[in-house]
Amino acid sequence: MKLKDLFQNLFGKPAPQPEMTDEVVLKIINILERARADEITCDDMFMQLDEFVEHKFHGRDVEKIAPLLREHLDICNGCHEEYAALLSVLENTQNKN
Amino acid sequence: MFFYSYQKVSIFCKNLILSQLITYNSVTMSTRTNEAWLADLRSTGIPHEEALNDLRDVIQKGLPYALSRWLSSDDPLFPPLVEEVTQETLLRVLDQLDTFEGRSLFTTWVHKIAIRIALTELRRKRWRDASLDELTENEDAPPPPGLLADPQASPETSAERKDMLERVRRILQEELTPKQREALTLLGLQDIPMEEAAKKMKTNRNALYKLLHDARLRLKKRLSMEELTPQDLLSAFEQK
Repeated sequence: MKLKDLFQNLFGKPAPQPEMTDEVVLKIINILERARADEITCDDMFMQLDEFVEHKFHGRDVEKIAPLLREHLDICNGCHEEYAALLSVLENTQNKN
Repeated sequence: MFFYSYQKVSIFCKNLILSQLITYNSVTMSTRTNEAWLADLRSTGIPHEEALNDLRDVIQKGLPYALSRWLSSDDPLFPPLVEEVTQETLLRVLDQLDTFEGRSLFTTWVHKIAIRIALTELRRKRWRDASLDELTENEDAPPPPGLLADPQASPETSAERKDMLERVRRILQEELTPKQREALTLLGLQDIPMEEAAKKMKTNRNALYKLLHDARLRLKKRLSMEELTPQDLLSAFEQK
């Protein structure tokens, strides 16, 4: 039995389905505004994250050094969380020398 | 007398060895180069064990800062999570040692792996622990106030916004595959983390990102064919 059917049997109503509310449509438009053909993926981001964060930690201009990585962080919440966590570790455990 | 002297010398020697060992450890731990880390971790015996212990310390020193946004180090869940993440990170580091390219400090690379493991686990726990009620309670809730309900908007502006949203909604229906539509809706509606959405859709985060990337480019192209840009649409909602 599928989960959807089980839910319907147990509660007598269909499982909730996500719907395209106005807010969702607007969020999608927001995401679209930043879409570009040469975007990188989360795997690319992860491969270069340590190097990128060290640049940032040492005060280098990451917008110039790695603009695509910077843009990926603006649109991918998961990668941004990992970036912020790694930066916090370096700031609290390493010297800038 | 002889026994007493022997004991003293023995204790002195032990202390000397211990202090030398502590000095050696603190020096090697703080000054190990990338090459030294790799060499020690690839070796066997004492250097290997010492490198693993040092790496364990490095990971555990970093995790409280990495996780501070989500979990306090005073939380009872913190110690078991750190232990689990440390073990998993050490295993993964040893397994992936050959993939380290030396473009950062070795320890930064290790922290990166530990953070990926820790955040994946935290995201999984957060969504697993949410009750069914929590996940479905929005079903009967009134719809969010929405942008169309902007009291300052004139009737013309409201009508224009409604028309635009309908147009975009239609394009979304026509252009996207059911999988792309599901992904965009899940992430947009429930703010589910990418990893959890990926799991729900039986894929992985990278594949989901690619799916979304293709969807976004496709939508952008279609909007442009209809002489619309995302900026036009957004600015329509910024007007007073």
